[in-house]
Amino acid sequence: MSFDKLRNSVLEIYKYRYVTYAFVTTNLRSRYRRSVLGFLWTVLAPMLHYIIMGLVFTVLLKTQIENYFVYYFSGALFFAVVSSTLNRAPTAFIQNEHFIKKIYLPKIIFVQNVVIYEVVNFVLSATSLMILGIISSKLEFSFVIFTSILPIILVAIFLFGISAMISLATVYFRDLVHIVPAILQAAFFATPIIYNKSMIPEKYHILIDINPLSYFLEAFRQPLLTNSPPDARLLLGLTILSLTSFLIGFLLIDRFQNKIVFKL
Amino acid sequence: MTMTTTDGLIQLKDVCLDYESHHDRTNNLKEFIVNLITRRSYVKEKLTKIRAIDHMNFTVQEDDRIGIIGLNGSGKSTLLKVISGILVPSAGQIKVDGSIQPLIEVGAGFDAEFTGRENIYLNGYMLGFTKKQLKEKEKEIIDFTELGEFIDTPVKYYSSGMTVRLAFTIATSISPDILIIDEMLAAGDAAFISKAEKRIDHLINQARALVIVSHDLGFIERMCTRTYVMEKGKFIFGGKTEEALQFYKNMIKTRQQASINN
Repeated sequence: MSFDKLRNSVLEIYKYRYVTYAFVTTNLRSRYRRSVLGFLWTVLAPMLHYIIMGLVFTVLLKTQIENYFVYYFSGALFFAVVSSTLNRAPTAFIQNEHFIKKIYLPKIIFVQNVVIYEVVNFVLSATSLMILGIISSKLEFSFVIFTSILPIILVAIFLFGISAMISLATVYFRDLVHIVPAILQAAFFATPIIYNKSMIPEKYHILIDINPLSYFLEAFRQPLLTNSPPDARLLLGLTILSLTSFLIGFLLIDRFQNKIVFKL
Repeated sequence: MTMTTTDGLIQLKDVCLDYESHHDRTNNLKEFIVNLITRRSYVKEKLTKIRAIDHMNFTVQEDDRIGIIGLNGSGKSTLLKVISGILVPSAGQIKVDGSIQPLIEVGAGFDAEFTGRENIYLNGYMLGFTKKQLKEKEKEIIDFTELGEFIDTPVKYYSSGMTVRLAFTIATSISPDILIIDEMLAAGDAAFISKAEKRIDHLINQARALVIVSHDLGFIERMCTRTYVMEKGKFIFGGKTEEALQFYKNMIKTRQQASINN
């Protein structure tokens, strides 16, 4: 593909940026106005979940992991944004069939809507949960915590690419709608969220090592858990990985975007 | 058929558009893999192509008021979708010069969960408005639709007449260079229709060119100076609107007689 064409694609996405803006803000508003407590519920419900899991593992199972509340909380929070994004990715095009068939829009907008909505949602709930963690002195406050924003930006870029691939593939293979959640379930256990690596037999370490999510999680968790910024070499590796995923997803959509409409 | 060679606002050169018919097609990974393993080919036998636009050449010049008529399934709406960029031709070239506004189907950019006001913005952005432009137009749109306080109710609770009123008003608030209209006043009460027609007239007067698809021959007669009759993805007649309408009426009459005789 020529550079000019690529530039035009990017300019076009910029031209329709308000579509994503309207989609994200309106959906957030309607999500939070449903109940009187609105936003509070979306924070309280996961917090309750983290407390229960924390108690089960520290009191009942007597886990060896230090500061298990923060350990589990950071892992589960991280995985929540991954799974909610990827679970919605398969229907990004299918659900918007009525738009795609009747109105001209760059197709990548529909992927962008999903990713940005989920990431914004994550940032809102993560911030409030961290504030609660600090108030309840489970989480130690320091400015180093803010460095965990970097891995989140990187994972968002990574998810954008993966979501683009999944949403495109689902147009051709509709059963991905059922397959993706199953894969995510497996990915949950192949990522050190509830356990740490030293707790499992060495021969299974490969499952964690080949799973890119565990590296993103490691970078995200480090500032929260050890009060030190994520490893620079790790961040560099993640940057390369995210940009590669993003580029592949972007180019695939650009290549196939005129064909999607005929398959819906 | 009059064909000019100079560049027009819209120019179609030998354009074809094929739909793949896929009522039978495998659309899941499970079967795809099973077929791959058992080496059963599935694509070749089931993939049939339907040619909706057949080698079409078509030019729209400045100030043209063009009507397109034809029986159901003749490819009229597909042609408009090709012109508007929603469908990309399978072969041939298309050139469009100037902003284009398709009024293909009212409510195309609606999300039923959103309120009327939220949809003004969502739909407006999809049509290429900026935030500032929409802020300016918001009140005028709400007034014209006469929706009153319903504007803050989710669209899924609207009657079809209310939805059409809102969608129509949003779509017609933009003034494009080239206006494309596809059979759009299907619902809405008589009072609104007459109001809407005035609004369309105004829009048409401002547009540099106009292409209308309609079964409402009266509307075509009033609006268009040149009209094409379409069948099986081709123009079978093109000329002055009155001649085209005459041709079309004769065509229908002959068909009816033929089917009675059978």
